Amino acid sequence: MTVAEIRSQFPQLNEKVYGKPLVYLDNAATSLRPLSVIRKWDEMSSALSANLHRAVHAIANRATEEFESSRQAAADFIGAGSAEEIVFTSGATQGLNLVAFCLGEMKGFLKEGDEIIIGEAEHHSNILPWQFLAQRKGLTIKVLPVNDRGELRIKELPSLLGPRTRVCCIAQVSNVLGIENPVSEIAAHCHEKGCLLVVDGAQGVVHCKTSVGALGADFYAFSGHKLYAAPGTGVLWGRRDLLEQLPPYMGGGEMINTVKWSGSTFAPVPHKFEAGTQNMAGIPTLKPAFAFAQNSAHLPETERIMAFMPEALSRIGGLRLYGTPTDVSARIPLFSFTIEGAHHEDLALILDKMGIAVRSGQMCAEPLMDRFGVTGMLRASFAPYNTLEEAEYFVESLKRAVKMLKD
Amino acid sequence: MDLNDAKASVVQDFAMFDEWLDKYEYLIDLGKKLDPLPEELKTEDRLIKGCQSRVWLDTSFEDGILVFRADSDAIITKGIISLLINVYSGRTPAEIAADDFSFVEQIGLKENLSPTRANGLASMIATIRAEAERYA
Repeated sequence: MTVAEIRSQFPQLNEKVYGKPLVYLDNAATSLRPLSVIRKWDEMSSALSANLHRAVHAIANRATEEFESSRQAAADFIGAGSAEEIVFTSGATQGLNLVAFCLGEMKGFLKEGDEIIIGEAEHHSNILPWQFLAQRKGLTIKVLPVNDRGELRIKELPSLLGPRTRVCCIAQVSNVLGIENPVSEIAAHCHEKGCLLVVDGAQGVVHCKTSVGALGADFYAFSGHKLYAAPGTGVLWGRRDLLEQLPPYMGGGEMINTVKWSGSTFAPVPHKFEAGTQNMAGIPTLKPAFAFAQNSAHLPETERIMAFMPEALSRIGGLRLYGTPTDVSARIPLFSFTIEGAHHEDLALILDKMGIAVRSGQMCAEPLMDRFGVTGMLRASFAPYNTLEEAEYFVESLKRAVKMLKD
Repeated sequence: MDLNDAKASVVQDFAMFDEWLDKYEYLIDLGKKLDPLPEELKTEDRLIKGCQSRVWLDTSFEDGILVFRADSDAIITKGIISLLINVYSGRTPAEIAADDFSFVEQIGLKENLSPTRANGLASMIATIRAEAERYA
């Protein structure tokens, strides 16, 4: 597919803001959606509204088929052994909360004084559920730091992993630094010490060819809305034996086997974790979204943007780029930076008026902001529908904004 | 200048610009002209809650009038708080408390800030009003 062909599939790219064409560079927050996704979403709402799994009528059956075929598509997309290892969620945040909560309730798994390791660059969604768990169970949280380049200091991992370390929580790719972490190496260290590895794949699944088997993760969570699918959709993959040992997360709906006053039993995995009415219109959009992601990976245009951006940014005075890996192939098209004397919020406000959507602020990673001693950053994140021309316009506009602020 | 004239003057200034980028230039200019707040006054209790960037407001009450001083680490935000204190500083608490702050709507500031930043603007206004009510 050419970029022009791809762009024609994303109607939002025709939007104008303040009379200017939209340049959407906030893809790491939420991606735009292709027609294939929009049509599926519309079809589920306009033709296939019925509750899943529970009725015998024709529409319910077709809706259930759509829903369940997305499960198989998700398993195929991330190389899971079986569709039964795929739990649908509202997004990565819910997936990570589910794992943290249920591990806390799993019989005999955690004792007071046990330890959890969390990466220093984690998104709040992979910090807070573990802080909640640590408070409930009296656990200690240890931090695996990053170096000045933003790379995880993997060499420190073996000494952090003690006999009481039960879980390690790491993003495949940080939403701020855009560096692919050596997850399989981390997994090997963790498993050697009997520690589980929970991976936040929210950014990684979009840009990295992912096989949960090759990663060596025990749990892997991602969101649909960053991956061209409907918002409020997500996937949690878990090792089958672990999913079976975990207690349910929420109660109600089709997650049961029998409900008696004397006690209840629950549905087999994955339905045990899918309480209440599911996102019936949204989940089926994952299937066309996966297809788009597969067909648009590593386009020549994206490679050109990847080559252009760090170089062009480095020529702006006072600019500091965060996430500069020694191995440049570990970088995804996401660039977070600060500019001396130009506040990230001012820059974002001015760029907005130029038609450019970027993210500014702490980006849900306050501990990482503290680590680099900044109150926030500006982030431009690219998708396959972005062009080199847009990247150039972004850099020129940024220079103009800096000039407005500094002169 | 009385309060109504001060407000009218701001509305008039804003009306000169068609483009929002020019209005930002104007705010940036206001921000740059605002005297910085001494570091020792940039305290946690002077921070206005609900702003994405940090904004400090210092209030002093002398001879029946309120004097506001402010600062921010973001320059457009500093321009906005400067615009507000240029209008409201040096007036009696009663006069400020009785005002409806509607001139801010007239210059279209709120609509041109993203929702989180518009909340910041609302917090600035609420803080100035609360200070006035405290001394009124």
